[in-house]
Amino acid sequence: MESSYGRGSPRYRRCLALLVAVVTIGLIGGPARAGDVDNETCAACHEEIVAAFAKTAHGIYYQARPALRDYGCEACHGSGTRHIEEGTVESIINPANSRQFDDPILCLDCHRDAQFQDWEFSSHHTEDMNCTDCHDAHAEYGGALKQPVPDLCYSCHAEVLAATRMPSHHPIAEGKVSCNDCHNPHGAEAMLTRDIDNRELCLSCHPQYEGPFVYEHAPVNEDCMICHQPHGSVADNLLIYQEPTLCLNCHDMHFHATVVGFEGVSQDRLGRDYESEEDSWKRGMLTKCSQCHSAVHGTDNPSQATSSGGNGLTR
Amino acid sequence: MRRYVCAVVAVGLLLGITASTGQAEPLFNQWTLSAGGHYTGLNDYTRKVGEYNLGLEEGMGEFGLAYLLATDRGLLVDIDGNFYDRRNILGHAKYRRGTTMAIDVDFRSMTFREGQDLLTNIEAREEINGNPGGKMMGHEVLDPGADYNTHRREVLTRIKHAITRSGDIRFLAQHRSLWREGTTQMTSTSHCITCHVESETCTRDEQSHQIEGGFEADVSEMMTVGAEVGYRRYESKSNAINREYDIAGFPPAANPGRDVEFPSRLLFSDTVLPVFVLPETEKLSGKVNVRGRFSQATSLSASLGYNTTENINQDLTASSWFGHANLATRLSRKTRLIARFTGRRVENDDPFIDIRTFREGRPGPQPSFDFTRYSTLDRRDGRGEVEVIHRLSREATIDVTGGVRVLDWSSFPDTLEGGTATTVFGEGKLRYRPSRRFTGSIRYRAAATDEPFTTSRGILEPRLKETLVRNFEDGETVHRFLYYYEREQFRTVGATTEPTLAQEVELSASIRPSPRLNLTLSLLAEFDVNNDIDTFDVERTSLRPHLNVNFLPTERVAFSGGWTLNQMTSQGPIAVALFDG
Repeated sequence: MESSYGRGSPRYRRCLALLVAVVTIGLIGGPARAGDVDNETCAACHEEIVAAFAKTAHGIYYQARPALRDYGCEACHGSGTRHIEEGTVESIINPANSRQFDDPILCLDCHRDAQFQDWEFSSHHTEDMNCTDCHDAHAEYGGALKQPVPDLCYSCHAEVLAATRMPSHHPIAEGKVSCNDCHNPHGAEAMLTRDIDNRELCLSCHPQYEGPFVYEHAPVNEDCMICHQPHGSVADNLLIYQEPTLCLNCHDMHFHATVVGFEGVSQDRLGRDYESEEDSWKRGMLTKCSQCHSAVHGTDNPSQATSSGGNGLTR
Repeated sequence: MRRYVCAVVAVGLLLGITASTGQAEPLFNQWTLSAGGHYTGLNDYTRKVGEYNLGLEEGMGEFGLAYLLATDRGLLVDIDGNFYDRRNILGHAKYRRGTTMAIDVDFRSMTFREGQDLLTNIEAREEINGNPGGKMMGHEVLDPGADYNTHRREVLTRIKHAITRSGDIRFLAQHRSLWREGTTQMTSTSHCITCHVESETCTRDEQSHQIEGGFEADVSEMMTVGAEVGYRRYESKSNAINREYDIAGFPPAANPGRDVEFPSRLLFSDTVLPVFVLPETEKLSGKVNVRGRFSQATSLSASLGYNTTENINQDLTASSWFGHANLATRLSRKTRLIARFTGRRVENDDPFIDIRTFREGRPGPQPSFDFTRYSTLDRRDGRGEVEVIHRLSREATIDVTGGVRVLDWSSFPDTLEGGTATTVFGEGKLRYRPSRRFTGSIRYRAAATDEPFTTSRGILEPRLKETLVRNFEDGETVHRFLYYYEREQFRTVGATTEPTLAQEVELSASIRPSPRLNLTLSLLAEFDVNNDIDTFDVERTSLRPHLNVNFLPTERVAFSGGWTLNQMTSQGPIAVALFDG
């Protein structure tokens, strides 16, 4: 039910697809390879495709440009003269067959927006993927992606699909966050949307952790991924392991955990009761470090212990 | 109120655009209204499962509205919105006017719920010879049964406008606002008399506003340059909790008569202080970039940027320069080369921290803990890699990558071992694609790091026995009482569980017997080793097989199934203490 209104919904994908198609084609003045064979000639054999083309993202844009409206097929498929003569599949350009060793990708001739210009350096491209692996240029407006995101992404990245079903996860399955919020599938800068590294990207939505703080936690400055698994995790708060295992990867065990506990109930100076068992110290010190070190992302407030210089990240 | 403003703006945009269509012939002009409902029951309810829902036992109607208008003169209006419940609302509006104007407005509202930690594990007292000892820890939950949740809203507006008729120069603008309101659990710890953890409800009221502006210009048929500047302000109006810290004193049973010493071991006692104070920050950023081609065979993408972030409350600033350059070229008809370089330099203010004298007025050592807080943000980080892809045949390619990353913390004086981590990495991949129905690949990657990431102070202690027989100042063998700070100084700087050698092997296959059926299989194995220090050998092994099936019997129906197993084994001294307990 949630995904019916999510950013991963078909409607949202339609918007994205047309953004890609209309804006970028228009900005650079449109393709200029038309002119040998008009669309009516193509329709003689490919009637359904030509008839449906007007309502594709490309078709909507072409309507405003007479040359493209009449000769739009050749904008992507090149001159149709030889194809008419020979009638073979090999005699016409098929953008779906354009791969990384071919001449510059056909679609990029028109789609020259900044978001596409790193395509040739991207992991998707070096994996020999093609625009048509994800896009269908002949689909009606809104359907230029072969599947809605995130399903399209999951068709290759199944491990991410599994992660988003973990108990703690970014609300991708709920339709409130999309793959494209963090990733640029056409990009090269670590495949992220716009930021130079993971930390900058995370802070764009979680600015409260940016600081700079007087008292820092080093991995927060380093890379959020040291502690967090952004797609999903068994542990709370997208942590890669539950506490205290995660903390013990870098820190040694709190030495109070070795204290032997008193069996029974006793009072402190203020008359407060303390119910204790032999293993109570282990239980208290080896369950969840952030119960006491609650300002784990950094703080300006010193903690109480003098000997640690106020560095305890407890307030 | 803001949501109504957004709705009014969206409707106004829609009406204005509709009126401006003039005599254009619509290709699409359609409304879609959807309605439904849901009911949430709380049987077997755990808040964690419902962390993105209201968590209320209630029925609620759902509504959706979509409008699409496209004309033969290049006008496009696409609006859709969905109401799930009063906190889960999404909306998107898109406007295009030919090639000259593009506007996108997104609205996103969601809720996030937290469970309550009852802190029941924090209650213990030390035993000394069968009697209650001095060390105690306890907890107090001041708001039992509290229901914590935050409401997050976001408005994002992006505008692109072609300044010139040809569209060669485009103006870009973006605005983004985030609001987060609600309540959360906040714990604070007092070390006075006992170690005492208190939990209270803290209200959240945070805002972040960001604006960006810039331009893109096609300087030639093959080259585009651009620049952008941005400003972001974050502020928290959350109510700080005022925590009362007891009078500092030794627990009576353990140290009778020594109350006078204990206060100097703590920075504050018998006072009320705020906790959970988030600083107000401002961020300025700027970036220039160039993208394009030198020739049909060679592409370039490069950027250079600067940003500075200020903690206004503390007058602290962190600044960074960063840049990247990518170059792709075809060496031959069968060989491509891609070179990627990134670099970054971060500098942070270093405040002086004035700490009270330890054991002030007492005989024996009275060390000063004053220090300058150097930041682990300070660094120079450079990375370069070269990837060569060669087509062995029409079906097979081989991909070889080699590179180096140098991470230098030399401006961070607390790092005692030079502060430079150098990682050399290499990767080889063979991919086979005999037809569109099958793709297979095998990949191997290795990365060796000579000084993995570590914090400044050192984090792992040598064995306590070794600690006790050394004098940390002059190397003499002594046996005496150790203060906490002495334990810290004994810690081994440079020890970390980050791998010195990380290796990956991946096998992958994708089978598509028909256009409507796709099967993906893969196996990823990771082997991490850190043998930097003999006593801290760490090994991690991870095995991740996965299987995914997609079946599309018709264009409107899709079935997807996936299975992934992540098996991880860690071997290191740290886990022993945990599980032995």
